Amino acid sequence: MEGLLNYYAADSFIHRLNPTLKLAGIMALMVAVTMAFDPWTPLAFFLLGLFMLKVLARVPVRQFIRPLLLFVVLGALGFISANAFFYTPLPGRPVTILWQAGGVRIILEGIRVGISLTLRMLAIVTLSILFVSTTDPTDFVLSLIQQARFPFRLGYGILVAYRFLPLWRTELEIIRAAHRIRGAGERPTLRGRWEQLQRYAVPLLASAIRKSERVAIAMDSKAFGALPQRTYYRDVHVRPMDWAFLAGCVLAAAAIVWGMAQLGLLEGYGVVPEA
Amino acid sequence: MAWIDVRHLTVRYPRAPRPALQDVSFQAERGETLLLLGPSGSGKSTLGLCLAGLIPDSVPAAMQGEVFIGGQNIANLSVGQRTAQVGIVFQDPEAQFCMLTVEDEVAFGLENMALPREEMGARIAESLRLVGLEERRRERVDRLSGGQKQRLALACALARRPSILFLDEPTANLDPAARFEFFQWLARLRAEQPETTIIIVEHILDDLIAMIDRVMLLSHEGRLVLSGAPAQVFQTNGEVLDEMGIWLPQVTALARKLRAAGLPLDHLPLTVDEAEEALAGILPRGPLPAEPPRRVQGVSAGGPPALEARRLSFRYRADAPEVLRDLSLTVPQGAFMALVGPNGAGKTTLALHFVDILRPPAGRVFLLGRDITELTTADITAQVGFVFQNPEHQFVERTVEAELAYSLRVRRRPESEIAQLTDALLASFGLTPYRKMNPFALSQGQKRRLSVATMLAVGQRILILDEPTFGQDRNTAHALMERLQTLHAAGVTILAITHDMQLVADYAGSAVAVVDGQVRFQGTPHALFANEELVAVAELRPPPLYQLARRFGLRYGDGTSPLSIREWMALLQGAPAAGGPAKRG
Amino acid sequence: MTGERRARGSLAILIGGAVLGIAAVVVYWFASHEEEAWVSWNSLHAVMLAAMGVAAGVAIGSSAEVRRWTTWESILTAVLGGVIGILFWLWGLFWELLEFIKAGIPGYGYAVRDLFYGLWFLAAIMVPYIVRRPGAALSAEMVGAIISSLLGQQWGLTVLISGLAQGGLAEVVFALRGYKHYDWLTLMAASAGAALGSWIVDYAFWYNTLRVDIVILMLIARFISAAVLSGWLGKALSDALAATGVLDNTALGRARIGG
Repeated sequence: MEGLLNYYAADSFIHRLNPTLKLAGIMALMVAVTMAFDPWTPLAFFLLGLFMLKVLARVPVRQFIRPLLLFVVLGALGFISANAFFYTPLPGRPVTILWQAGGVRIILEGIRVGISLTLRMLAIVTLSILFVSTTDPTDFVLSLIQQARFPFRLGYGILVAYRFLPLWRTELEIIRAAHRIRGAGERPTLRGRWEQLQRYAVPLLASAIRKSERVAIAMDSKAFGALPQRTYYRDVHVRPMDWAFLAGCVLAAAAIVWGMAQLGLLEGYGVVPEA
Repeated sequence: MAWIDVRHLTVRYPRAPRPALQDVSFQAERGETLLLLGPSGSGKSTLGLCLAGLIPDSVPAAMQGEVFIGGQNIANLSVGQRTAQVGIVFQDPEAQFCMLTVEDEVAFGLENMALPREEMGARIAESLRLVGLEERRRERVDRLSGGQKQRLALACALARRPSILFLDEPTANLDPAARFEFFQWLARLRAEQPETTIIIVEHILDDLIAMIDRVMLLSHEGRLVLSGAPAQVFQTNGEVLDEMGIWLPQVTALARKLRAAGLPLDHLPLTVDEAEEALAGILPRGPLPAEPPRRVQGVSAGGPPALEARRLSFRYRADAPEVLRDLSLTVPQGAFMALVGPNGAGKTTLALHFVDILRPPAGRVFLLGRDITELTTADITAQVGFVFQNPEHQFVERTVEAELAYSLRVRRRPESEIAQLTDALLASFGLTPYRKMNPFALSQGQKRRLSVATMLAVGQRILILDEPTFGQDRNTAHALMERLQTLHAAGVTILAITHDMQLVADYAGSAVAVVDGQVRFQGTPHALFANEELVAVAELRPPPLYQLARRFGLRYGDGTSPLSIREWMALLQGAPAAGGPAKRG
Repeated sequence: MTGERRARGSLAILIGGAVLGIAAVVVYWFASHEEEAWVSWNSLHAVMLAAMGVAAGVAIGSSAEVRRWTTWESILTAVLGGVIGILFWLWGLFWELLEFIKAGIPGYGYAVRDLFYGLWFLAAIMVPYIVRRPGAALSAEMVGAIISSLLGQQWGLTVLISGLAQGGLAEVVFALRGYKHYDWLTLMAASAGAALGSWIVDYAFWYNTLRVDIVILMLIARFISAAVLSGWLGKALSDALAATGVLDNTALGRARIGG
């Protein structure tokens, strides 16, 4: 199924990393960015993500520009407008009111936080794109099984589920057409969509369940999980470079936070700038 | 001791009213190829699951009796040892793989055996070579055709080096060209691995029967009732097979009729080659009529064509290639037309234009003479019914009754009328006993009947069917075609997209071949098969009886040849062949 | 599955959750008593940390249980999780439309929008209701999160953390009920658990600059939404599916027929 993101097959330093450790490194960056409330720190993380995506992983811009723009524009609208009106300052800190009418007021600091949150989303989306577009889904799951001790039957289940994704899209299209011929119109109202969801869900899920059962029997017929041990045709390795990447991510996050603090731009992480 | 020794095997699924298999005993040697026949629900698949040791661990069922493979009772073996003996190929090409690429999929079965990596590489190469997929080793599984997927499933089984292969309707979901190819690879495999015992479940036997050593027949009750060499079983037990709805190879069925008509045939031929040999010299050669018999074309009301496409072009996306290219087609009222052609030629795309699922520009598609773009979806679906390949896709309600009433309710017909029409449909489609059942819980044949019935509920006079006989056993397919025949006789126009050559040969009044988005042929089924160049580009397989007729040079005055048993019999008896479909069996 | 097996499963999961949950609070307590606090956390952060600890502990506790599943149970969980994952993904696109509600009703729009949040717990309710195995809620929710993030979502891989918290807290409810009861009460409580998990994570990631009354309203909205869109819908859909006969070989199917 074509999502907004897809794996972009290529050979680069980032592509070759072990998926589990790559995920850990990227998650570390993501968590680090969520603890900052100024606009500059997330901006730095965003630029770091973009650098890794474009320069280190050599993923072409057309591969990621669409989701980036879509989410950013919509996210910005929401975060900035909401925080402009309903920002909560830290205790004892004054707020700058730009405009006030009755109980409604627009707060400068809120707008600032809104921008910060938008940049935070930008950074998170970029880092996620970095992971998804440089990681082969099969390697990802195999690595979870081999390195992260993920239950292997469930892991192979995820591969089955992933393999089925395009099929559900086709099935859904057929079901829609079939129901339209039955005279079931699609109404654009919320209630109409709700009814459709239910009407489509049963045939789609029934088909998914049947196919799962068949696949499970087919897998068992090949002795899936029959032996206490199993070998792997695709061995997903952990090399020193993978640990280096994880360490690099943690160091980069620390460096950005420390640097921003030195520059006096950091908010969050216990740092409260001078009023 | 025989390699496979099954003793008094009885299997019962939980909550099932009767056992799936009852007291089945048989033996098979290494290298034997067995054909397992039986009506649906006779326990054929269950037998495979038992041999592979999947019952009761993976599939819950109670099992009595013993299964010995290679002298060992499989009940005493571990799951790993049991499954190592038997490789299974299942019916559904979409639901037997778990990995994304071809080599990973073959490797999966080897990883489970904990083989070292180096050995896996060699085994993958070897097994893919055996099924002709070595070039596809790094391909994604979802890019393979249905036929290639089934061959991959075969490779996955072979890589594990089982002593027994169980093939459970491996070609039921394939088109005739892919089926033929699968059997060719299987024949090659048999020659290369003469030690492997093969047990195969199949319904369409014409291209398969030559490699079968022994036939076993399971009854409705799951009992093993017949076992023996194919010619012998077919020769002496024709009535039993007929009764169970088992279809013989066509030339065998013809030979039975010929013998009954007094021709001196000592043994029944199974293949076209054997039939040619057996009939040589004894086939009476009367003069042939100038034209093949015409099929009754239903009650034609005259008037504008039921469906018409005029110079229709279509592509799914602006940057995609054209699926329909300037295509023109007329379906007259009262026609029983078969739409044939290779996969991806545009048959279904064309049909979806007739029911407003795909929207043509104005002046391209006409329904009963009216431009379809001027009609509402409700108007169109009141005239045209469309039966999808998988009946379940069309179900919207929780009971059979409500399902039939659905289209009427949507159209706000009065409840009394709905009740009356629903009752009538239930009765005429033999669904009255199941009216309160959930449509998904019906049998395959019942689901198919229900899906056709729902498409006639508001009085549609035109019925389009997408692969009506695909993936079904012959009994179900036959019952459905008989029903369509009745509807057609009552004046319903029928357009069937199909790969089933038997449907074309036995039922269709006319045939249309679509190749590469264009109509390449429109005419009688006889003329279709006589056009050899077209048969090749449209990836058709002429019916065996047609092939046999060509070998003997049996031709009508117009150069076409007989397709069905009835035509053959009529020719041989010198009487003019009656119209209508020939019944096989 | 025997009663003893079930009891051991729920015990392992609850102990896992409790140990890591307490550990998280202890770490927080020490961290926040530093002379110069390097964290500016408040008590809500402590709750969040504890919840994540519980979820992680549940994950560790479940993993041993999940290893014991049959192939059929594993594949069914993953495939249903995957199909629901597509729904999660589509819901994420629909969610962007709701940004306008949120922007249109300043502040309280957050709570109004969250009335639609509950669908994201569907996997954590429906799959355990069908499969009835320790670890099913967490596993299914995680698969849904993985699939939807692979398809590309605005929250990126942070949905993996959300999935862990939502599935983990729902799993706690099923474990507390001993994996024996799958009645309305359990399903509703599990939905509420998932809602709480989602709220805790989202608060930490996106909303901790908002006024407290709005954040509390959001939590209430999520409870309501979870009850309808995952609790009620999950049960209704599963029962509709069971009526078709395709679930006859699952725990739900067997429970229905009484076999």
